[in-house]
Amino acid sequence: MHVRRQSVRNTAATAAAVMALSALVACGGSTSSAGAACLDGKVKIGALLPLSGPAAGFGQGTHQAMQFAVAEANDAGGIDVGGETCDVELVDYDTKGTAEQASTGMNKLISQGTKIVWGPQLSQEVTSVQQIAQRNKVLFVHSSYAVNGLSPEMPLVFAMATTASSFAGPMADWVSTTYPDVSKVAIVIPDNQGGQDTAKIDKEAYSDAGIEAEVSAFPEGTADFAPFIGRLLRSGPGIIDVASTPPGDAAVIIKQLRQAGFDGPIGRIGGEATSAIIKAVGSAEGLGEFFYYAALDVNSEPIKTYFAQFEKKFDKEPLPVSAQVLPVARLLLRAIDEADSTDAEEVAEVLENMEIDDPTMGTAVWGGEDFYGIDHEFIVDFFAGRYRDGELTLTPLDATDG
Amino acid sequence: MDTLIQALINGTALGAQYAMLALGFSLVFGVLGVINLAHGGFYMLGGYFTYSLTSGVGLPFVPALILGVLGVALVGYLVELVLIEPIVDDHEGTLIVSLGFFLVVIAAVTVAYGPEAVPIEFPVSSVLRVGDAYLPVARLIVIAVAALAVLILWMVLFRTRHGVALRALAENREVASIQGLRPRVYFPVAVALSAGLAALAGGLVLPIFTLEPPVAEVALMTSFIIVVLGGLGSLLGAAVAALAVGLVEAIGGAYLDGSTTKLLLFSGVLLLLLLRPSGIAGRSVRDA
Amino acid sequence: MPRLLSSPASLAVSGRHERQAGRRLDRRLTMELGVISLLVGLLFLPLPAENLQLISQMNQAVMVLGAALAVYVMLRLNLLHFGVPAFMAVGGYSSALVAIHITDNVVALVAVSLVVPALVAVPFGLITLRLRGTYFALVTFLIGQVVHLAILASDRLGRTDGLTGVPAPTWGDVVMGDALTTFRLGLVVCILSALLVAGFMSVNSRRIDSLRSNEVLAASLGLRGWPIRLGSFVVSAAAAGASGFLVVNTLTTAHPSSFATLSGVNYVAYVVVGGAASIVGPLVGTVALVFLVAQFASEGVYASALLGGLLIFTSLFLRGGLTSTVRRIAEWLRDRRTPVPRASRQRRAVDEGQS
Repeated sequence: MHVRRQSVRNTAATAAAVMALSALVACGGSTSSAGAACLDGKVKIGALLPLSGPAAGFGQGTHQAMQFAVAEANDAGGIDVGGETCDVELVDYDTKGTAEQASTGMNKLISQGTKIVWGPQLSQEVTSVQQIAQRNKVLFVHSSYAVNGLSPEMPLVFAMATTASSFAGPMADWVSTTYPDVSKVAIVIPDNQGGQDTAKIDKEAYSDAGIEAEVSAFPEGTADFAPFIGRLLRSGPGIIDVASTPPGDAAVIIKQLRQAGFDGPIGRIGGEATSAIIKAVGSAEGLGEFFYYAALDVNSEPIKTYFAQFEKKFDKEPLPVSAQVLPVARLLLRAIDEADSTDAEEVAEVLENMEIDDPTMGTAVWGGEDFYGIDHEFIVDFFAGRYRDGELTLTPLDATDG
Repeated sequence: MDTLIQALINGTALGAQYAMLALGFSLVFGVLGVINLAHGGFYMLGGYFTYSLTSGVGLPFVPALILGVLGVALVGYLVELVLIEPIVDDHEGTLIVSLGFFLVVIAAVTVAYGPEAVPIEFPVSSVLRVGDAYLPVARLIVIAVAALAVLILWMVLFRTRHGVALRALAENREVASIQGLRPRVYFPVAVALSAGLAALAGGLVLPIFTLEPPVAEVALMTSFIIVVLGGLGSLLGAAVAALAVGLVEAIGGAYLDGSTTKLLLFSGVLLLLLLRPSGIAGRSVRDA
Repeated sequence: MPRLLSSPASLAVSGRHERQAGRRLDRRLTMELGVISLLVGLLFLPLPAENLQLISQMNQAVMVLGAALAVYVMLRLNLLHFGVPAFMAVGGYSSALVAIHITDNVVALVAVSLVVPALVAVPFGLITLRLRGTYFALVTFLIGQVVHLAILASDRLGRTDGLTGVPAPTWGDVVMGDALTTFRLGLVVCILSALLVAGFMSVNSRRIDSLRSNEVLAASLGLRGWPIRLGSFVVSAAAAGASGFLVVNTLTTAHPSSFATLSGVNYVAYVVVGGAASIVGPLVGTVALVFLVAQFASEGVYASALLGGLLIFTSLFLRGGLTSTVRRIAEWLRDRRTPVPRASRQRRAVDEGQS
């Protein structure tokens, strides 16, 4: 019957289209050859980071660090893999800050032959890639503060920056010495996993230092913090700590706290983002009395040199957070070079035994055994930064001893 | 008591911003029948255009704001002509096209200005004290400008010939077209007006808070809830709902934590819809 | 708009409409059977287990196909449903809770992920019953927000951490943990969702079409809209819930960020880009966009711009989505071979407008 033939033809046409699309899906998925030498003179490193979305600031900064390290290595002639000297190629995948995309991205990178991955960043991204990375023997380097971010069961996972578990303690001690009259801290965080992870650690650190700490979480997407601040101030805290609140939100909180008449110290025991915060607030004076975990001294010569070099190479200013993770980016490439292979286990062994003396950040060690059970956390001496009337003082705090 | 006064002040300021945002969104839906997912993008662009004109070109804040608003209104006009007009009766299509534009705008802004917040400051930073409550003068200005904008919008829509035309098209497009009112002419104007209002909100408010790409999404969500509460197509409803939402957020936020307040607010709106499906002041909505 | 029956001429016209309507329903049924056969066929297709990207991509598509079907069901009634992530969350979290505390039997988990969201959908469906058109869309956004916030506020559901370490489903002694089995399980769940959706729509096809074309007229002829609307909403929630189960299963975590409200827009995009004329549309749209998003993601910052550009392009130039465009091209090719009289071309155009 005419109708039937038409419907069948239509069904066939669309089924064919669907098949074609499925075939397209199969394209580009080559199986990997582990640990071998470079393909076409290139060795691939995956970059699995939130390059868009709310975490894009950190994601892009982290990406820049690896971009620079890769450019440095390639300019120096490349790195040795499997007896050959290869150029490094960075293969990007934007996770958009979501667990699904991180998982998809990891799968895609693995099937493209990547064994070494720079990223992911956020706690939920890390959780979603752990199993697949382990099963496929992929080494990845993340920057989450999650309690289970590192463990002896995951020998191929490293942390690219000092995590809160290592810097919160010394910072809290410094706070109690510097502000001896303060007995109460309000810790402010966004109500998401990263925020809660940091708050837990900070609260314990403050309490160990003899300061009572209370956690106040604001819903993600809050634009006007005025009501939140009103409630916050009613509990009469001596210090308000914005912990790992993203810099844009932190800036608003600081501005509105000062407008509300809060004169006490505002602090940040959380990821380095002070330049971004000052940029958003408008000036260092606008911060009032402000202290923070300073992973680096932005005004030091090595850092300034790095900024200048980056700008020259890529024709734009780098995000300051990139300097913080640059050492591990460099180490990773050096480890591949020294292991002469991209086999994750071999690279991991070289990496964890490396002496760390970075041209930009100085000496550092792999630590974290006390908290995580494994020394895979990049620990470098840091500073307690303090702004008063727009002037910055940096007090070095020791983290690399014990 | 002071807490309550502070909350009322904050709430009114919030409500004023929301009103500017929501009115534009409601206008486009009322006149074109289109849910414009790019609305938050216009809000964000208002902030960024103002920023470029102040720090890049060096203009003082007020002329920069005005030019920024006009610029975004022009963008809105062009978006309607090029992207929406060809498919204006396709509700799903216009939604997706506006989503597409929203994604492109966010990416463009992130590439042009970077993912971090940019340094832009509101020119007035003094703070008034009312007992224990504090009132930043900037928020007062926002309330004043918002009230003025709403008033002007009202006058345009109810007292000018073209405004009446827009309302006629919103009420019944077929009859209005037969009467000689050409949608082709008025639709871009409606979107331009909406974009301009959003940009005004953005240019005023974002320097007070923070100007970075994620603000666009938040603005969009806020517009949705206010327009739903106020009743689609009703400008008075949107204005009242904006104020109500601002006050609830501020007062709730002063006594409960933010997430609980939001939950109560949204649940409350849902319950209201059970009783009054067309929102506070919506007319029975024409089948879109 | 269907004409009123008043004269022999119009009776003849309505007869023709009847036959055209019949043809449309016939075509749609064929599509539905075609899609289900395709999914069943994929189940038995031997796939290279080492090709991680292929398996992962196909799993990704299969994971969210239920969500696209959920949007499709409502779109047949001309209603845009943005609250799909909420029902995905209900299905995902309830199956996670069952897997952690009660049993990891796969049948139980799938059943829970279908039934619980369906039940939860009833009160929400009742709220939305009186809402029309795009107003409905905004309200579904609200529902999504409410559910998301409720999850974040619940300690039992892990708050911001979600529920981690969700055990893999088991079938007797078999633990369904590896990538290929996860994909096949996803296919089975999709087949169930597709059967549910297709079954519901076939049984109610005429009623749905009447409601879609003119609700007032339908009501005047004695058709009550609310059972269909509520039914569609419940079926939609079930399909979404099953999809939520697959998401949780793939990530082994029930995490609030997997069910963000704005992601509801993605699922709508899958259906609109694929085409909402038949069940093939959501399938095509999901596969195409999941694949393209993964391709674009390698472009870093430009990823969302590319996706945005694609959406603009498909809305402006591929009216009715990919499937309608393919059909129009097929018909145009056929017309070029055998010229068609203008009258029947016009009739076909009327047909197109109504499908």
